[in-house]
Amino acid sequence: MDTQIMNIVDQPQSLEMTNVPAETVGDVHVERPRMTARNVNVFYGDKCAIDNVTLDIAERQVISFIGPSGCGKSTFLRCLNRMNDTIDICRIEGTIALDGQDIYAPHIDVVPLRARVGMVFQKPNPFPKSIYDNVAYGPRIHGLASSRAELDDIVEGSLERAGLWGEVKDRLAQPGTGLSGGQQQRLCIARAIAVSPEVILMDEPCSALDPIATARIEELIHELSTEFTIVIVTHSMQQAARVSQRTAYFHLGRLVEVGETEQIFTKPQHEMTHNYITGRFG
Amino acid sequence: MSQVAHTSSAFAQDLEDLNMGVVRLGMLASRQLNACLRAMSDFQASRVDMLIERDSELDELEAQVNEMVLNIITVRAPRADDLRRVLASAKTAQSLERIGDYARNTAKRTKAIMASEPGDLPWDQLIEIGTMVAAMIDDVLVANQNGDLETAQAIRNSDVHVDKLHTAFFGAVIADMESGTLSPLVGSHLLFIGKNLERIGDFTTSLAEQILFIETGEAVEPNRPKADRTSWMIDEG
Repeated sequence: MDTQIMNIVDQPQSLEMTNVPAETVGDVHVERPRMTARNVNVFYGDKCAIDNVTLDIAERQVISFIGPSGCGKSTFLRCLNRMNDTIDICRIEGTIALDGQDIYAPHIDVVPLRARVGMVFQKPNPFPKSIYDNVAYGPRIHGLASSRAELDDIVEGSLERAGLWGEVKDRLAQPGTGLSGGQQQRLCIARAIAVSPEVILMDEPCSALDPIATARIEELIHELSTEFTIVIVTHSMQQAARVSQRTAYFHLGRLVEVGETEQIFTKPQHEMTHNYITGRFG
Repeated sequence: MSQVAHTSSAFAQDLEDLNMGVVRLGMLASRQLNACLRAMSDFQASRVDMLIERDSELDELEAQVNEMVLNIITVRAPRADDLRRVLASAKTAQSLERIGDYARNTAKRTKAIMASEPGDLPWDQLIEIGTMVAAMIDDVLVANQNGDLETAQAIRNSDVHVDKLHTAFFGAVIADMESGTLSPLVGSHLLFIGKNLERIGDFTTSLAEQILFIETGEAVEPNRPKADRTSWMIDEG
């Protein structure tokens, strides 16, 4: 059982005993949603990890998920490209749609789904391959390039957009694992965008990086948001405030409040959000 | 919004220290103004000298508050009402220091008038204005501690009475100067003292507006009631 599931299972409180609101405060809907989640429940065995979450994720916008450890933000993130399918005891109810199509429908193949909804993890995880092959891997398996020249263009373009091309163009054959932590994370981002995803999920993408590497990733998120829809889970409220236009606060599996980032960090409506963002969470 | 304590007790202590800095500054500014009013009432130049000396304490306290504000923002990255309280503390400290400056200037001019032994002067009118603004300061300091929106709004609205008294005082002094019962020098000192007290009233409304900002998160609507007509007075002679 991984740490995340342990956090959920170990929750000492039941939702009924808390003041966590059943109804989300703020507008869960947006004008142009790329993804929609409706009444989503997630269970690990008989433990409820996500409780009736409804949320729209807007096109070409960055939304941050914040909340204390074990609140369900990463669990909900992983639902958005069916990463939880790999956990046997995990069961999901409700509807999650990408461009109006239910991603949990029986005919949906998760491999192309995860190309459309890419993911960047907490710890950089380049393949034990060359820098070139790390980026070329996705386009190859999804048949996105018909020639070597086309593949070269995709690799260069992806590394360029990830802000890494200038640093690696002369050593593309060297192992991706030989790069610094920050470079490895940008390589993973290049790998994710090489297959032209519609949505990029980021699960604490900077938590293993130093401040300079973090600033570079944040700048990259800002630049990528003009092309992609980005969902980021972060423990850093400063980071959420810096990179996202919308912020969602989770607590004990419920979506307590969602709103414009500026409003959440200056005038939160729900007391739980206020207590969390001002450091009054026990 | 919440009575829940900060998870970081050091952060809570920083905010409490900042609050105490503002409280001390407020008490000192209030004491300075009241000492000034007593000097007018009792004609005691010794009080005035003491008051002028103590002004440097206000400057030091304001510098301390500003340093605490800088430190909290840098180290704690406050958010929501915590951030508003920290930012408002800097502005409140600045207003209180300015109130102290006006009290000192009023004291200096009072001493200059006393030295010229001018005879009967409209001290009662000045003391009336001063007493009103001193009460406003005391009320706003209590309201600041209690987050009392109602009192803050009432103080903001009450400055119009100070304006009216000041306008009447200004007209009376001008009339006395025109009739020759007041020398131009003493008359000018009195006009400046009246204006100082009126400005203290303005700064007190600014303190009330900071309370409204902290508690509501909204910028205060700019048009408050005003009745100072001295800027538009013309010679109708």
